[in-house]
This record gives sequence, structure tokens and C-alpha cells, in this order.
Amino acid sequence: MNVLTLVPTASTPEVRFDPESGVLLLKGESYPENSLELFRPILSWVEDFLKSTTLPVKLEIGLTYLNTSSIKSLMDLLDLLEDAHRENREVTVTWFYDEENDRALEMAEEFREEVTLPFFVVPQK
Amino acid sequence: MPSDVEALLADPAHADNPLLAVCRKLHEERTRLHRRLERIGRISDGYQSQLRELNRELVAANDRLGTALSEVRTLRGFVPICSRCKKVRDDEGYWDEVESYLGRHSEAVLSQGVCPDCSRGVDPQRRFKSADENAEETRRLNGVLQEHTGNPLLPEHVRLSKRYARLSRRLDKISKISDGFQSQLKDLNAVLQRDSLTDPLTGIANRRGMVDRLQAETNRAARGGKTFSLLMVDLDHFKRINDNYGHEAGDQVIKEVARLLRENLRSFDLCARWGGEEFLVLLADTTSDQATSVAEKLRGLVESQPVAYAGHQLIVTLSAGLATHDPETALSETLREADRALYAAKQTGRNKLVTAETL
Repeated sequence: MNVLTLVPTASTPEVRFDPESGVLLLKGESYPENSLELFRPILSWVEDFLKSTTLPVKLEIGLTYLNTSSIKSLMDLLDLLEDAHRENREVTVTWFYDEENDRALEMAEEFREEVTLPFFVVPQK
Repeated sequence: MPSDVEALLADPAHADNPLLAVCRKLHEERTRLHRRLERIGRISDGYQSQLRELNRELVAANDRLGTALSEVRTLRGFVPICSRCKKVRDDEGYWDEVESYLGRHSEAVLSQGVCPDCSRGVDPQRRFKSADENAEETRRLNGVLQEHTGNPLLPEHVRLSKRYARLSRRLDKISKISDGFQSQLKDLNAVLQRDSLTDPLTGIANRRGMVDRLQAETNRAARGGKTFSLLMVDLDHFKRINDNYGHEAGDQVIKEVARLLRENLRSFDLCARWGGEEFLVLLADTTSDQATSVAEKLRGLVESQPVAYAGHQLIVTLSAGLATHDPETALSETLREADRALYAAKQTGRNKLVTAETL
């Protein structure tokens, strides 16, 4: 499997999914006009990755802004990982947020409540 | 969730019904979708309110600029700049006027319109997929109808299937609409961000735009990058122009000088309106000697090009103070030095350049 790399733009995040280490990184802002276009390849990469390996999955999220359809797509991604976790795959999610922004913490907590897998919310300077 | 559905599904009479499991599943999925919709709404509202907050901050930050602009228009050139600190006044009355101005004209700022494709709805790929899904769902339902003719749970199953599909479509629709609002806010903030760094009269950077850039240059110099020079420029006897020809003439002079300065700098230099008739020029990657020759050129240019106003040719000269930033000292020190040099230029005859090193 190849590394999935997407260069960040003004409205899309940096994406770096590494099949060797199992680290899936999403960083930046996400408010593309068509979030399906952005997330469809991401979701299918993760589906392939879950099928073709047994490696632990570490999703690292440093997203500071999501529009509504990106929120929905990110939940779809979490659903995939949640299903894998139920089938005993080792999965962790780490959500980094700006420590000075209380609202950002609230947003992260909302995502955390949506799943039962290990989900860490980590403040960042 | 309507509890009658749950009661129906829990009825022992249907315990062995082959449709029970699928009805339960649909009901659960729909409940889950409902919860998800609420959560997406909460998260999205959270982001949007952060955007609105930023928006309010930017509007507030822009009020002094907007005020200056509207005062220039309504009071024929009077810019409410404090004579001591050179900041534009931000008294309550001005604030209100700007707010109502922005309120009245927000449509103009946002009037991106909607392209024909968007107004027709979804993108082709999406439409195709959704039509596909619908066909599949109809086939599935028809199969169920045939297979379970007469089953007492059948009407409930059909109802649940339709509701689930509707909710699912609604979720997509809400995302789309909400994204539209969020992009508008993003766009407006981008416009405000740009405006907050621009002087409305001249279109060059304002004080805040310059301070942002100076901060970046100072950091670069501190990290061992090349240093820069600052040229503090003030128009000579500007008050006379205002008094003799009116404030519109004064504005015209400021605009022309700003244009001359800007057009004769390199792309990586920056010229900002620093105060009423005061400009600050950042000469990047420039030693004191290089900066001196640039400054002399600018001074000569302004002197040699009279500003045309209502049939008059207004001769304008400038005094300038030059200081080169020492990475070991604070930026404020360099600014003070340029100011002192400018003061010396004013004291010793005007229409001249003084470098801080010579003081």
C-alpha cells in the first residue's frame, strides 16, 4: 500500500496516512466546496488499509476548522474505525486542540462522544 | 422517537415475525441518525459561532478605518486622527456609524451570487449516486412487499424505510446548506482581514499591516536573516495645502505620494500610511548605504512631480528619517531612531533625508 499524501490548500487539510506505521494524520482546516471529493479517497484508503493489514491504527487529528459536510465525513471515518475496533483491531484517536480555545475543546468532546474507541483529547500550544 | 413504534416492535404477537429484525434495525439506525444529526448541528454551530466571533472582532478592528473613510466623505476630508498619538479616534458615535454602514452594505461585500450549476443543486457525481441508491432501495422494498404480502408488520416496515431514507437525505441537505453559510462567513472574514490591513484612502498598507510585516522582518533578522531599513516620511507643510486648497486637495496629495512611493519600491519592500501625512517605508534586505540611495531617489521623485489638483500643480516635498534595524535591539528602538532622524530633517530645513547614524 502506498502512503496517502494530500498537500494542504486554503480549504483542505494536510493528509498523511502511512501504512507502515499506521499513523493517519489530518491537519489544518477543512471546508472544501465538495467534501465528498476530499473524503471519498480517504475513506477508501482506510477501508483498504483495514482489510489488508492488522497493524494498530493511530488517527491523529489537528483540525482547527470543519464545515458541516466535513464534520459528517469525519464521522464516517470514525465509524469505519469504530467498526474495526469492535472487531478487535487496535485503534486510537488523538485529537489535538488549541489549549487557549475552550470551544475547540467542546468540539473535540462532541466527536469523542460519538465513538467508544480510545479517543484522547490533547491540548496544544 | 415515537414510542408507538417501539411498542409495536415489542409486541409479543410479532415475536416470530420475519420482518421484526429488519424493522428493529431500521428503527435503531434512524434513531442513531437522529442523534448524529443533532450532534453535527451542535459541532457545526460551534464552528460557526467561532467564525462569527472572529467576524465581530474584525469588524470592531476595522471600525477605525471605516470611520476614517466615512468621515472623509461626510466631513469633507476631516480624518479623526488624534493629534497626539496619531491614532484614529474610536469614540462611540463613530463606532455606531461604521456598524450601521457595514450592516447596510454587507450584501455588497458578500454578493458572490450563486452560479447556475449550484442553483440547480448537487454535483453530477453525487446526483448519479443518489439516483442509484434510490433505485436500489425501491427494488429492495418491492422485493420485501412481494415476499411478505399480508405480514402485519409490513406497513410499519415500509414507513420506517421511507423515514430512514428521508432523514438520510435531510442530513445531506443540511450539510450542504450549512456549508453555504459557513463559506459566506469565511469569505467575509477574508475580506475584513484584508481591509483591516489596508488604508482606505490610498490602498496601501495601514499601520497594522505594517506592524504585522515588521514583526515578521524583525524575527527573520533575529534568526540571522538579512536586516532591513526603515524610512519615516512626513510631507512638508501639509497643513498649508489643506488650508489653501481644501481637504480634497490634501487627500489627492496623499494618494499621489502613496502611489509614487509604492510604484518605486521593489516588490518585497512595503510602504504604509503611518499617520495623517506620514508614511513608513520598509526596505527589506537593505544596508544603510543602499537605503540611503533609495530614500534620496524617493525624495527627489516626489519633489520633481507636482500633484495636479483642480487646475493647480501642487509642489510637494517630504522630509525623511532613515534607520537600519540592528537585530540585537528592539524594533521599537529602530522606529524611535527613524522618528528622531525625521525630526532632525524637519528641524534642519525640510525636503531632506537624515540618517539616524549621523545623529
